Amino acid sequence: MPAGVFKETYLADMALLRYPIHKAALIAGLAIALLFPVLAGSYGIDQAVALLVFFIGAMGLNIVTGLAGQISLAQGALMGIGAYTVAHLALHGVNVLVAIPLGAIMTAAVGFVLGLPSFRLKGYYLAMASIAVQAILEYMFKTWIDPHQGISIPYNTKIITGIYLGKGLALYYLVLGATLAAALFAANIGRSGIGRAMKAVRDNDVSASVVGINVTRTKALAFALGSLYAGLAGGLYALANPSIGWGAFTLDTSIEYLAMVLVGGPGRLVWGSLLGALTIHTGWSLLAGAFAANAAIKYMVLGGLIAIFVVLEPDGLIGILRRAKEYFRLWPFRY
Amino acid sequence: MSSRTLLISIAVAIIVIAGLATVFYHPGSGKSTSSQTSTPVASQTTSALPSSKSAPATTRTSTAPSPGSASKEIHLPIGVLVDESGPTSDVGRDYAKGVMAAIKYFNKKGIYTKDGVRVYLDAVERDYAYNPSRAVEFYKEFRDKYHVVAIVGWGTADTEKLANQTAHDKILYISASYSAELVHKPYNFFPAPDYSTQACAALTWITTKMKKAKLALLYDHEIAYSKSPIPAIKSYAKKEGIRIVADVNLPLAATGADAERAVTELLGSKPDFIWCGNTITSCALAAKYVAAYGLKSIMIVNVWGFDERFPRIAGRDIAGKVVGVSPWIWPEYAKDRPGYREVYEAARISGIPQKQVNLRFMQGFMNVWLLVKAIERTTSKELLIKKGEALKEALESSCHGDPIRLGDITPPMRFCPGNHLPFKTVYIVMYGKDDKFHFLGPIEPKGFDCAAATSG
Repeated sequence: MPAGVFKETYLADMALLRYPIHKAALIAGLAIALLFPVLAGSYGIDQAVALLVFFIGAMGLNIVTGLAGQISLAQGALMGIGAYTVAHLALHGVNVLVAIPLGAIMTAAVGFVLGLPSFRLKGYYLAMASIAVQAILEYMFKTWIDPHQGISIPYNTKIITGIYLGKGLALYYLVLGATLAAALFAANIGRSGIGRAMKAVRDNDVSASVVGINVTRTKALAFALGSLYAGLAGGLYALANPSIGWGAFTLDTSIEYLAMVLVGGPGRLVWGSLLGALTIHTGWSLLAGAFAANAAIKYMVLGGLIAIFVVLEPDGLIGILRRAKEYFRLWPFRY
Repeated sequence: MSSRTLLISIAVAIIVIAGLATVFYHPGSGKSTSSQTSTPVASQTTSALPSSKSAPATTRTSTAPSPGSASKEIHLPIGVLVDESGPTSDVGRDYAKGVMAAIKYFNKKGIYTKDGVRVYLDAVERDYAYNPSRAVEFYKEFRDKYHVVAIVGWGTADTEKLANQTAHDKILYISASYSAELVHKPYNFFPAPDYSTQACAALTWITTKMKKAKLALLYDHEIAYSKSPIPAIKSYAKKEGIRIVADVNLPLAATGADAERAVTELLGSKPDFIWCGNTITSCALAAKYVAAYGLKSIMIVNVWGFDERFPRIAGRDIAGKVVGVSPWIWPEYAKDRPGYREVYEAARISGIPQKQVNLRFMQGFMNVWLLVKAIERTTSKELLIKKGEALKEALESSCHGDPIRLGDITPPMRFCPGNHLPFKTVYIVMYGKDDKFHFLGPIEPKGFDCAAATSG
C-alpha cells in the first residue's frame, strides 16, 4: 500500500481531480445537488437557483479579480446586459435557450470593450473606472433599455418541447447543468496557459511582459471571460424570474460579487466562488430578513465582513479550509 | 478509473437523472395529475392545495362556530407586499398598517364563504422597499413557499411586471397601483378608477374652470407609477384644448432642492395648472415652492400625492392653490357612514389611535375588504379547488350580478372579464383657506377612454 498519493505520469499530475478526497467530494456534492430539489420543495429550488446564478457570476469576477488581478466593480451591470439581452430577444420571440448563449456572448463583447481602461489603469484607478462603467450601464438600463422599470419575459419563450423551463425541476437542472459546465471550464482556465499568463499578470505585469506574455491580450481576455460568465448568470437570472428590472443590477450587486470573491477566496475560481456565493448570498438573505427595518445595518455587517477577510484572511474561506485540510491530513503529526 | 472517465460518467448520470426527474417528478402534487414541467397553465390548473408542511394554509376540521352546516374552516394564505422603507414609504407605511389592521379585523369579525365556511386570512408581509426586483423575489417566496392564493400588493412597476405571471399562476392580485395597464389583466383588481381615468377627470375639472388652459407636468420621468397617466393626460388635454406647456422631471424621492429646481424650470412657461404625479412628500415640497415663487398656478395632485398631511408638509401658504384627486371621501369626513365605521373599528382593534386613520390607512383596508368580498362570493369547494381563480370569478360575478360595494366608501363596483375598471368617478379635493378639505364632485371624464389611451 502506498504511503501517500503519488503521481507517476504527467497526465496524473495535470489531472483535474488529483486526490481521492476530491473525487469523493465531487461525487458527494453532485449527489446532494441532484437530490436536493426532490427534498427541498419549490421554494428551496428557487433559492438554490438564485445561489447557482450568483455562483456563476462570482466565478466570472474571480477570473478577472482573483486570477488576473484586475479590480472590477461592474459585474452587476454586466450581469444586467446578459439579462436584458435575453429579455429583449425573448420579446422578439427568441427562445431563451437560444437567447442565453447569445446574451453571454454579447456581454463578453461589452466586457472586452469595458476592459480597455485596464490597459492603462491599475488598482484604485481601475476600480474607479469600473464604477464609472457600472454607473453608465445603469443609466442606459434606466433610460433606454428598460425605461418602464422592468421587462416581463414571455412564457412561450421559456417552453421547449412542451417543458416549461422557467420554474421548478426543469429550471433547477438546467441551471445546475450550466453551472457545472461553467465550473468545469473555470477549473480548466486556472491550469491552462491562459490561466498561468493571467496569474503572471496579476503578480507582476512588468515581469510577465518581460517573459513574453502579451499583457494587453491577457487582460482583455480576462475581462471578456469574466463578462461571459456575468452574461450567462444574467441570462439564467432572466430565465428564472418572471420579469427583470434594473434594481437587480446595481452597484450593490457588484459589491456583493466582490464580497463573494474576497470572502470565498480570490483566485480559487470554483471552490472560492462557491463558498463566497454561499456565504454572501445566504448571509445577505438572512441579514435582509433580520434587519428589514434598518437596511443600513446589513450594509455595515457586509462591509465589516469584507474588511475582516481582506485584513485577516486574504485567502478567504478557502484558505481556512485548506489549513484545516492540511492539519487533518497530517494528524496526529504536526508536519 | 481515470478522472476523464469519472467526469464523463458523472455527466451522463446527471443528464439521465435530471431528465427522469424533470419528466416524472411532480412536487407536492399528491394524487394530482399536474406536472410542473408541463405547460404553465396546465400545471397551475390542477396543482395541489398548500401542504401543511410547507405552507401556513390548511383546511382543517374545526369546532369553531360558523353559520350554516359546514364544520370546516379554511386558512387562506395571502401575501402582503408593501413599501415601508423605500421612496414611497411616505404613503406606504400607513397603507401597510391599514392592510394588516383589516386582516386582523376581518379575521376577528369572521369571513364566511357562500356556503358558510369560515375563512381565516393567514398573511405573510414583506417590505420590498419599492424595488421591483425584490418584489419578484418576494412574489416567488409567496408562491413557492407559502402557496398564497391572493396578494395584496403595492407599486405600479412591480404589479405591472408581475401581472402576466400572476395570471399564469392564477393568484388574485389586489394592488395599491391603479395603473391603466392593469385594467385588462385577468387577475389584477383594485377598488378605484385607474390613474389615467382619474387624471382625465381632473382635466375635465380644469375645463370647467378655464378654457384653453396651460398645463405643466411635474413627475418622475423614471418611475412607472408617475408616468402611468401621462399618455392619457396628453391625449385628453389635446382633445379638450388644454395646452401642455412644460414636462419637468421631479424625483419621487425629491429633496427640497430637487423640488425647487423643478419649480424654477416651470416659471418661464407660466402654467395655469400643474399636474403633480408623485407621492406626497415630493408633491408637497413642489407645492411649497410653487407658493414661494408666487406662481398663480393651481397644482393638481395624483391620488397618492395628496392627503390629510399635505398642508403640514407644504405649509399653509398653499391654501386655495392645490387640489388633489381622490376616488373616495376621506375617512375623517365620513366617520359615521357605513364602510368608514369598519375602517375605524379595524384601527381600534389594532390599537391604532383614531387620529392616525387617514386616506392611506383606508386604502389598505379597502384592498383587503375587496378580497373578503371575493371570498364571500365563492363557495368553500370552489375556493379549495380553484383558489385564486375562484376569487377572480367571484369578483367578476359582479359584472352581471350584484355589484360590489365597500360600504359608502365606493359607488357600486362592477368588475367584468377583460375590464376591471370598477367605476370612473373621482372627487376633486380642495384645500381651502379655512384650513379644511372640500370635496368637489364626483366627476368623470366624458367621451374618452382614458384607460385605453394609456394601455393601448
